[in-house]
Amino acid sequence: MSTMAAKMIEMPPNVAAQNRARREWTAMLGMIFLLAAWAMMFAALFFSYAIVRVRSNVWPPVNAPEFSIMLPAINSFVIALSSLVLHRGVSHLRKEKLAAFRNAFMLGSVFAALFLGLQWHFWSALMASGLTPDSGSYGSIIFGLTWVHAAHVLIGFFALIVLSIQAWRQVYRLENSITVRLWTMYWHFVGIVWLLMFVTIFIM
Amino acid sequence: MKNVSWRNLPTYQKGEHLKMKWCKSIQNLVAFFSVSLVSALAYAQPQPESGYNLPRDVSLDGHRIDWLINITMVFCIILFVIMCIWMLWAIFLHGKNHKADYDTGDSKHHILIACTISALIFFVVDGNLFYNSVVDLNEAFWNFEKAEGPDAVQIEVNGRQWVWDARYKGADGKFNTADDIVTRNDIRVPINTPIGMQLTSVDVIHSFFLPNLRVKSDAIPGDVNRIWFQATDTGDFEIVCVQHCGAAHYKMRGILTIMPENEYKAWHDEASRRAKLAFDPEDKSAQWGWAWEEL
Amino acid sequence: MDLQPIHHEPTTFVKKYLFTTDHKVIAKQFLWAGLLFLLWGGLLAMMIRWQWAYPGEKVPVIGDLFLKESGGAITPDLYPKLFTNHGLIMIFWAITPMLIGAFGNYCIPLMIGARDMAFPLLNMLSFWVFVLSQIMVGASFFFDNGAAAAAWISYPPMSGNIGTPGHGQTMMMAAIFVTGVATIMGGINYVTTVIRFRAPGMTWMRLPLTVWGLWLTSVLNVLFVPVLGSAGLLLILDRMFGTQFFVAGANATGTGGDPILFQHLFWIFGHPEVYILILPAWGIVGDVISFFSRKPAYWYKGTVIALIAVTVLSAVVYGHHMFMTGINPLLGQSFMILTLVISIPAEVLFLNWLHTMWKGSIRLTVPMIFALGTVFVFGLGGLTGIFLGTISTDIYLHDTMYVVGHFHYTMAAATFLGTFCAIYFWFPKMFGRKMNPMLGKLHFWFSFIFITLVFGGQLVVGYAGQPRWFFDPYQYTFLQHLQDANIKTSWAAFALLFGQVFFVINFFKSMFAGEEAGDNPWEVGTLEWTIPSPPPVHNFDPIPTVYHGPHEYAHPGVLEKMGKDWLGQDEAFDGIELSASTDEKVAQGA
Repeated sequence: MSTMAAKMIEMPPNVAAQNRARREWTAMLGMIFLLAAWAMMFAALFFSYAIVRVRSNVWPPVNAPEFSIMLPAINSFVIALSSLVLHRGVSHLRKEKLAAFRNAFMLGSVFAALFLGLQWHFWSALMASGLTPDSGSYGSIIFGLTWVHAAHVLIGFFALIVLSIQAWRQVYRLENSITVRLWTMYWHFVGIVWLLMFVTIFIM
Repeated sequence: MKNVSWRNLPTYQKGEHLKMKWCKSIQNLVAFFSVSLVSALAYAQPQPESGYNLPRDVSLDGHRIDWLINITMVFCIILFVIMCIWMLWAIFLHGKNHKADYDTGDSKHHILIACTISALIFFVVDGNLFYNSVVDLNEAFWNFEKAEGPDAVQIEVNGRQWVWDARYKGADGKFNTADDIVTRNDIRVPINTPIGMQLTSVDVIHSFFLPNLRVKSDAIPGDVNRIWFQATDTGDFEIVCVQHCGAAHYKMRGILTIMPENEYKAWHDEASRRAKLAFDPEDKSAQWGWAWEEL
Repeated sequence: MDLQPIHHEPTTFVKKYLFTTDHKVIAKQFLWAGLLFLLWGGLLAMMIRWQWAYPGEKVPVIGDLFLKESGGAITPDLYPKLFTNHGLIMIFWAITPMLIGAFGNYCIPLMIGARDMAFPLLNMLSFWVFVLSQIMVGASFFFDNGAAAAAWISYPPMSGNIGTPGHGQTMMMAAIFVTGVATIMGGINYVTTVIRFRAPGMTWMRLPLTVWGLWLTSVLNVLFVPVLGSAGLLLILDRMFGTQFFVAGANATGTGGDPILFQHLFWIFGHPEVYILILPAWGIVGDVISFFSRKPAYWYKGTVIALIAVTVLSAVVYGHHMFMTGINPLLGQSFMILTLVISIPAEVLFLNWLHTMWKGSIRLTVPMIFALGTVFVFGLGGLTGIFLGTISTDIYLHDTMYVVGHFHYTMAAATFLGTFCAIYFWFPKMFGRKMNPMLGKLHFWFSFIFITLVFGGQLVVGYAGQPRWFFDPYQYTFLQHLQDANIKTSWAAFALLFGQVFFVINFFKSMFAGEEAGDNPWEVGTLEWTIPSPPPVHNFDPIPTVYHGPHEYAHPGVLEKMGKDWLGQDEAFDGIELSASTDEKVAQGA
């Protein structure tokens, strides 16, 4: 009987909470596989970059225009900050501090918009300096990879907007926080991919 | 294999064609006649095959592939027949009226048998295949040094939609000079001589296949791939493109003429002389050659 | 609140049959969509076969309908479109939706004892995204330069703007990307469902082999379809935005892309894809052979280990598709040995199937003969494959019809017969009625004999040197004598098409007028046969409890006490436990 009692104590307070925990784990697992799929897609892009780079004797190419990596560096900072803010937001939601949660997600959305805006500016600056997508493999890598990444940021940005609006309307509580947590996971993933891109494409 | 773009290689030396001499000895005249004779032969049709066997093998090392394919085929047929007999026997012997045996096949004894049979098949059939393939590659098909010596013939082949261009060193012994012989869908090689080829393409990927010599390699834009072979019989054989390269892919057909050594030499000398004669330095599109890639 | 709530049956037509979240209806949707495209891909194949038998001659029927401009004959310009679309349609829009979309959806929840998929909404989305991709394939035929024409492998530069200008090729690459998204959605669903929604007692080692096959397929789908997505995306960028990922340039100045890069990406996906298509069929065959031999699946654990081993190995052998690209010799030899190692788990699978039949009580029902046919053609396909796994033999055979014959035996014949095995087996559950066994057997013999002959004919002409992708092989002197063989093979193909008429008649007739099937017409023990046919929307009223593996047949104790030779997975029987050895089981049961 003592083991039974021990089990009883460890159990969540009620069946509903228990089932919610199970459902959340199912959803989390789905998200993990989704991110695994996305990770493979980005892995393939990094692989492409590696192959192109290994085959080139000179990198960056001889005639490639110089550009400052200031903007990507700022963007790395922005996306890292946004991840941090969202992480804080989720922990506010766990404690059901709804106003703080809402503010965090709105700030996160602003950072996401800032990231996209800076990316846009970065691309324009590159094109103005003469590096275009069709100017050889260097341009292809820089534009192609950051485009694909930005498309994912854009998805995340829309999600953050919707989540912020819902947070404003106080849709989320601890019980249904899983949606928020999954989108935050997605956002962290996109952020990590960007940091990898920044290190491999712009620094290495 | 090292893949280097031919586009980056130093281009030919301008002006070399000016050094050419107009007069040649009587040998050329003799050679000219034999060349005419041979070129008439070259446009004769290759011989048709018959039956469903591998095409006639006229190469020094092709028998290795043939043997390996055929011995493995024998193994496979044996395995397949055993499988079929087993299935049929089970169906006839243990049909609806047979009382099924309750056997989950989980015992160590059963597992040992299954693993042993699998390992045995693997080591005999696959092992034979792997071992011989590695030996063949090292001794023959990928032993490109054999076609690097002074007595070997080297040819650069450039695929384009839908033609095989071939380039021979001229009398100066260098590629990419005025006396290079350039042919179109018409490759001539001497018998009993190692022939080295370097392949590339200017547009899409092609694949250079000599069925009668058991030789194949892709011709890829931006890459130089190698093959080598040695012919053991004279005659005309077909060059096939085996990578889908557009609507006329099926017409990308060339003729490989294997000649006696003396005839080849005569043809080569004469063709080189004529090439130098006709060389036009302004025609950049004809100057697609590259310096031979050393190993 | 229950973990898997019971949903009420939707009442409106749209919610019940169109935008449904019921995995059983989605399965049927996939089946219809797949059968439609199977017919389309099949007709394209018939046109190719006509061309090889009678090049340049007027195609009967199809020529009159669609090829008026060329007087009914196939032109060299049209021909690449035929084989390109035949390959892509069959792989992505016929086999994938039928074997994985239809039977993955239908079998997984029912066989593991779940009320639906883990993410029903995602499941619905997966199907409609798939439909979108099918529409895109259809649309790709109507652009200026016509449909895609760069072969199913779509190697650049052939698939770039140089080789195939026009939007048809771009549209096709986009369609592949979109269907990839649908496949990944389905894959995530299947993987999660099997992990999370197994009924109590349904341990991993009690899963039916069908579920194992589908689960491993889904894992491969989730991990490797995205790589194809990347390849397709980069190709589209190259085609539309002028990037140069796959355009060879001068490397010395560092401005060159690499056409071979696409081949790496394509085959990193492409080789797992071969197993993605065949693993479900292997699983189904493993189950069906046990069911109709009325005998436990021989060394179930070994079969599962072999399936897992193949799945893992499939990810590391892709280089054997690139032996002719000037591959590094050391790399080539590594890929060679890894490829050959796959034959070990494959042998274990075959031995287990054969052992399962041996000393059984074989009932030659229609699904069973289709399963045996699958073993036969996959045997041929597997054995002919080892020649292509080593470089020296591949030098001669690469890109010949031999390769075409080999991969059609594995990817086409085996999955085709495997799919029909599944259709005949689960039809009673899906539609509540039995299919006509006589018509089924006719369909089998036509399909089996002629599919073997068609691809056998390809092996023969390939061995004699005929390359693939040839509009007119007889331009070459050394191939002219093969026309006879090609004509015979083509007629085998036409007979194969004709044999499908028996299926169509049987399928529609049985759906409306077949004999009532009852809950368990085959007398097998997996969970889907414990509920009514067709099952209610929520599948299981109480979620069943599972006591043992899926293959408990001919147990002497069960025979004695219950008077039947099979035991449902939800039926407890003293002494039957998967982990116990055979002798103990018999001793305890008797």
